[in-house]
Amino acid sequence: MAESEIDDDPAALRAEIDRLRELVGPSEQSYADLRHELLAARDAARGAEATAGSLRGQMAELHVALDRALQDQEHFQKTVFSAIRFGRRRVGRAVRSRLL
Amino acid sequence: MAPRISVLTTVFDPEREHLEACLRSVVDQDFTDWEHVLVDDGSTKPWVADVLAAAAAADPRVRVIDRAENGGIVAAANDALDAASGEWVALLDHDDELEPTALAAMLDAAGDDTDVVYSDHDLLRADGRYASPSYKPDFSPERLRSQNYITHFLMARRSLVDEVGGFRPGFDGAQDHDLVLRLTEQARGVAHVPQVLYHWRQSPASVTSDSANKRWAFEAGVRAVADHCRRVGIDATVEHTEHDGCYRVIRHVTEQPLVSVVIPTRGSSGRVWGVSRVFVVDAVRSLLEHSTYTNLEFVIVHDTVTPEPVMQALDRLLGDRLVAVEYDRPTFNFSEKMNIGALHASGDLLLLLNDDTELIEPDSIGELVGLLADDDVAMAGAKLLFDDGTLQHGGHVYHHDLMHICDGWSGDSPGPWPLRPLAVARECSGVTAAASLIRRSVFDEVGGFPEALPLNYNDVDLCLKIRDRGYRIVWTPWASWYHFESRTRHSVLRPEEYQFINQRWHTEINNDPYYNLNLAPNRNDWLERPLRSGAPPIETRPNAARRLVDRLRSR
Repeated sequence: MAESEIDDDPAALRAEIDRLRELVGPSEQSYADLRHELLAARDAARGAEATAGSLRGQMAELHVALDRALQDQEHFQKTVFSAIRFGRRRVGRAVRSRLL
Repeated sequence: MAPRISVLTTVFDPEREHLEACLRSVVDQDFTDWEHVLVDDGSTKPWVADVLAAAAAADPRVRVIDRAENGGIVAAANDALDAASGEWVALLDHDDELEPTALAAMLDAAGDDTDVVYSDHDLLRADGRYASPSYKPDFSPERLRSQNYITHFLMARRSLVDEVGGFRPGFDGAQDHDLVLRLTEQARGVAHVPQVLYHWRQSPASVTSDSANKRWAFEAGVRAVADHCRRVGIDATVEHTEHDGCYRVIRHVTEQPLVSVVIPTRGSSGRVWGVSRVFVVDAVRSLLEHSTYTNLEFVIVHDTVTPEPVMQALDRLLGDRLVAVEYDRPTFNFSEKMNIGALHASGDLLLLLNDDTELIEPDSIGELVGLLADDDVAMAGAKLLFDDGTLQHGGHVYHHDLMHICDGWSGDSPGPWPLRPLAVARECSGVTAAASLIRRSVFDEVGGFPEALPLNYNDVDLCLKIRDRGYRIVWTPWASWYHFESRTRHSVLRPEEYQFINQRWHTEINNDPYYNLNLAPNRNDWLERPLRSGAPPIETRPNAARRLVDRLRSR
């Protein structure tokens, strides 16, 4: 129930107390324990997220290193292969001209 | 007739082949109107004098000065400076090498109003291979306070070097940083040549390869930056950080001007770390409970649909510090909401803050306020982390795309080597409006956010308008928030918004002065264009793979 909906009527206030009691349970200590457990669970989840995030972050860095290696490899291969093709054509031409 | 450029080199017991290579690299310059002034600082190796004498005999442009005894690099460099007769002086270490085009390219970049020129550089490994190019930003004064990103190759007008008093005693090890700070304070213009013109030899005794041996150099660096701050009127303490050669300038914020925190919200809830939260309430609570900066006003621009209990919770938390502004438009428009919020703010400083955030560093707002104490800094942005601690925002980069720098990297990563952009406060082309501080007067001057951009790129447009007016925008790693991005709203990319920004700022989003044209387009991680990367300097570089293995082993 929203706060604005509570008026000063004792019956309404008692009903609200009953509603809250229902939410909390018969022992207020159990509510405190539950809250404690919730915070502990949150901290555990946060720690697990942080660990996963740390690994994700390092993977992101490794991806950059991998991309660097791949693009350099591709560039290098293009350069070498085009040089080989060029050389092969020239040799072929020279051989053909001698044969003819 | 005096030469155009005097190359200054102090010599003390280098390896013979390294010195010879250094000398050869000057003689081989395409540009010929130079002199090479070498000061032998009392070398103990007998062949040094012979090599220098032979070089001087072979080329009249090579001049050698002998010091009777070793006086240290500062004294020797000042002797070289005294002997120089060129209009420009350029600094070259005794074991480093220049590209043949170096002097010509530096001079080409120097306009009439330019007093200082610097280039990119790389490392020259022991095996002779070039590695780890430093592709630098254009002149970035906040960054220069945080690290000497300029280092080599540096050329300055002789008249300016004289005016600032040359090299200062007492700064050995950081004498270059001290000099470049003093030069740039006085320079009419600073030019950057985005080419690797200098090869910095990685030798065992050098800072480049063994920073542990040169802790004293970083202590001198702290003094150099602290002196610089005093000269330019920044009231600050300077500290060396955990990252070698990176400094933190902690500005003293003596007064706390009112900061209006402008938060747009619709009162959404969601789960973070397994627990439900009402985003705006928890964002506000984190500031109230943790921020060391307390003079805050909260302008909450809330949609009509915002649940009443959320507004009541804010009212209970904030009392008379709450300025609640109802936003009753049927469709979401971030720009309009923020502009309305700014209208209702009474502070001279606006902290633009998304509701799905949580403060991490308690001094964050003070850090941002301190940065805005510089008159020409109009906006300052923070480091934002996703809930798993990875980086969400480290500043914008506009390099053929509009990107956040290194998003997804570890939140504590210094960023790509060798420049480590995430470890230092530095100028950026833009910062996100999810958590940034802006001067109210500048916000009004540029007309606030563009309401034609309701969802995306509105902060890009704001930042580019600000820079267009000549202001600087600074990002700092010392102010930080979690940003549970898009937990409150699903991201929708609209082509028309990109078209808008591309039409208005086509040149700017393809020429980021704080990135480098040698870096691959559409990337935000300093990946070099193919085969410009070289090999990593394997002797020193903290390796991501190694760190990952170490981490897994430690579990």
